[in-house]
Amino acid sequence: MEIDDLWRDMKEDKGIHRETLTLKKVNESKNPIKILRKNLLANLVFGLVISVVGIYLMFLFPAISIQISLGVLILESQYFHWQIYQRIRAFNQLLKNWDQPILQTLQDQLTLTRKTLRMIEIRSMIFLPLAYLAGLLVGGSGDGVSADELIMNVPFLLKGMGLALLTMPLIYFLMKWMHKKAFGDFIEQTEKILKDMEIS
Amino acid sequence: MDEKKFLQLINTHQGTIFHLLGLYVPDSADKDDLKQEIILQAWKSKDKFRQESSFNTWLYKLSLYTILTSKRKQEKIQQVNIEAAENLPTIEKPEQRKADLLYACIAGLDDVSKTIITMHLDGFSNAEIAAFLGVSINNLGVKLHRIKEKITTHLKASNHGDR
Repeated sequence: MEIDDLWRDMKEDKGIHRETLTLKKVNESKNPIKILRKNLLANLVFGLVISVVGIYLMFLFPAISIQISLGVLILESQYFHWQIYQRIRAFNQLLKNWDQPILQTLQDQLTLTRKTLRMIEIRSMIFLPLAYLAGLLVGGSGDGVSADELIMNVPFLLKGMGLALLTMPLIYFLMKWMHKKAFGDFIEQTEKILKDMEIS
Repeated sequence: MDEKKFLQLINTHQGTIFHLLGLYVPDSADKDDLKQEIILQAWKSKDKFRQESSFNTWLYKLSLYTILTSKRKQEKIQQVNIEAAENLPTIEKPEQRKADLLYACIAGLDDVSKTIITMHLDGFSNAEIAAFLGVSINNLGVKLHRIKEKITTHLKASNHGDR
């Protein structure tokens, strides 16, 4: 068969590339899955540290309104920390299972990546209003004004919520843009490979 | 398997790694990155090497898997300019020119077609290729037939151009 002969000739002509290969730890892997996994890990660690700071603030500020807002925020973040942890485990499994059919792996990669990015974007939206409230109460209390009085102050609340509503879409779309820059090509390439395998 | 023996095997069969990197990854920085990823992945997975197939076959599949699952950038070179390939300078050996044209055709295919035809030309059976990809053998057979037709058409067109 002509193509087979040409292929064999081509391989012979290209010759043997020789260098000494060594085992080096890949510190800065550019594999998008590994990058996303690393980001999740950093997110998890940072989130846990912030939760500890939040618990400390709860002891520092005994006002009921601060306790409640920080408490809800901390509980909410633990839910997302659990989700992040599950995603990290799923990515680890994906990186280990290299010998399953490749189209299955690519489909799993795509689904997991999309779900993870979406989770991060939604988390930033859900967190913001409560985080703003807790922050304003902590920052605004003192000098004879208690947080419990502040929470009854409608103009104060409106300012806080107005700020949250203004920045929520900005941060959400900023996250989406950053994710598109970082992972857009990878997602597009993977979708293309999966589409190419569909027989028309 | 210890690290020394592992690296001996990898170095003996390094041609497999470079052969696939040459076809799938035009960017040299990406090539270096992927080369290291492949070696690291092979090291982590060495216990999965079951001796049911040769080390070369195992390394081939692992390399291809790593390349396909790590692709990041749109490879501009993928849309090979067949006309440019056909305008290669006339050289004394027409077989060499055809071999270059074949290489250009295959390098310019989409990743799935490239995988199918490369594995086929490198001696894998349809059953092995289908299992690697995760498709039915019939599906694969149809795709392979179309890819070969496409390549043959390009080669024939180039033949006529030479006359």
